[in-house]
Amino acid sequence: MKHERSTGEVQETAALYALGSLSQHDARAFESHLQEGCTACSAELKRFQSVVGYLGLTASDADPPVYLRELLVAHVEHSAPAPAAPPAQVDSKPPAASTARSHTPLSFWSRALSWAMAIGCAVLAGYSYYYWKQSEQSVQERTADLVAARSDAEQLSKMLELERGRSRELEHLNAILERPGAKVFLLTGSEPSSTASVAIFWDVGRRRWVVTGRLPQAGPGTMYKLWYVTRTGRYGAGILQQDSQGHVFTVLEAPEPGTEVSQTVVTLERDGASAQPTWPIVASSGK
Amino acid sequence: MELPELVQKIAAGEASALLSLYDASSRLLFGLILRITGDRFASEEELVEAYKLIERRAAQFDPKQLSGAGWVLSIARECAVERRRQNRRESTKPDRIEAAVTETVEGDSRSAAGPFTEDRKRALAAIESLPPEQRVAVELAYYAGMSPGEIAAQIGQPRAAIKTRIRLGMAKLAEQLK
Repeated sequence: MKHERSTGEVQETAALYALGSLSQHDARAFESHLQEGCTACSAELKRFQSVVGYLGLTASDADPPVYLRELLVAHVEHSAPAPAAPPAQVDSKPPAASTARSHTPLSFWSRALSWAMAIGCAVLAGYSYYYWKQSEQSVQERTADLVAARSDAEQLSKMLELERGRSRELEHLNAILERPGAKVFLLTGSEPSSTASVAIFWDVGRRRWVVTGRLPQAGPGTMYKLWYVTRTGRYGAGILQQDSQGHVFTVLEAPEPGTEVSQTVVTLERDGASAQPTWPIVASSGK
Repeated sequence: MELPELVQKIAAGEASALLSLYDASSRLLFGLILRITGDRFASEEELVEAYKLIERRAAQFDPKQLSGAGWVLSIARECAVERRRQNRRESTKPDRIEAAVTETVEGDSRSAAGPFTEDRKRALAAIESLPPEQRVAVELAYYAGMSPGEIAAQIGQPRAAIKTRIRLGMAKLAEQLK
């Protein structure tokens, strides 16, 4: 039955529905009622949905950690279609307007003023040079002190950032391990990279792999890629991100739940998009 | 670029627009999710889930129905409330009722300059103008995702009274925010 006008009951149901506070049964019944075309209820719902949108603004902003954006980048790259060929360069700039200006002869006073300004500038430059020479030595000493202090501060800041990053990584790994069904793959290095060591923490519930470890520094133009082997074939899991010290920490989308992974392998690749491993194995697990 | 345009680009299949939307709105969404779940780690997971959901539902966005910020916030809230309910089911401890009520702080950082400053000021002014009993009922429904029955049990009031408080509170908010 459609309502002819808004009543207390209409308002109450629409407000609770907008807040998501109706029971599932009542919510379905209200949705059916809306589909019948009740304009009074639709109008009230629109009004209250707008209020709910505003209520979200009453919470304070908070900075999410940087790695979440990287996770979203990985998701976007994973779900993006193959990149199309770049379009031909088209120069969309309008043709440059002529910058030539007509020259008119300078008057006597104009020329005299130019000379006076030139002489004034020369005197000023001479005085500046003298003053600069006098103070140059002390400035150089202070600059050296400042550079050294900045360098120390930058180093400390980098160390602090590194420690914070490691601490956050550990928090994530611990959280995954506490979840039911968590799995861990340990990959050991193969010659000549016998010092390589990688661990994969499989967060089954959230369908993601958190990969951490240490690998020899990848050379220019090369990158480490993680693969997994199932009964049906070998699949690329993704590129491993490595910092300047060889440390690896990367979050990748895990295989479908229920996939039986018999082996995981890290190879050094020239092309991250290769469908099969092309270079020797650096580290592996299983088998 | 404004949020509605970004959502429309996502709906058109422009994957990079999702990252632009993240850059423009993640502080806003993360603040809300953190407020609702009260758990930093859960909030990080739900933030990513929220953007994946935004991507999947982008085609349903109708700027005539809801603002861009309102729409993305409603999805973030949905993820966060679901997580809070899940935690509530798994935990034997009572839900933290006090965390659901907005605290008003002098010189609040929420009033600082930002892309949603004016709307935020209006929202805060509106919620603060409600009588306390209506405000508590609306905020528990919004932030804790509680039903009128759950709120009634928490604060020891009849369920019918809670429903009335929510209705009156929401109607006043709608009047002030129209």
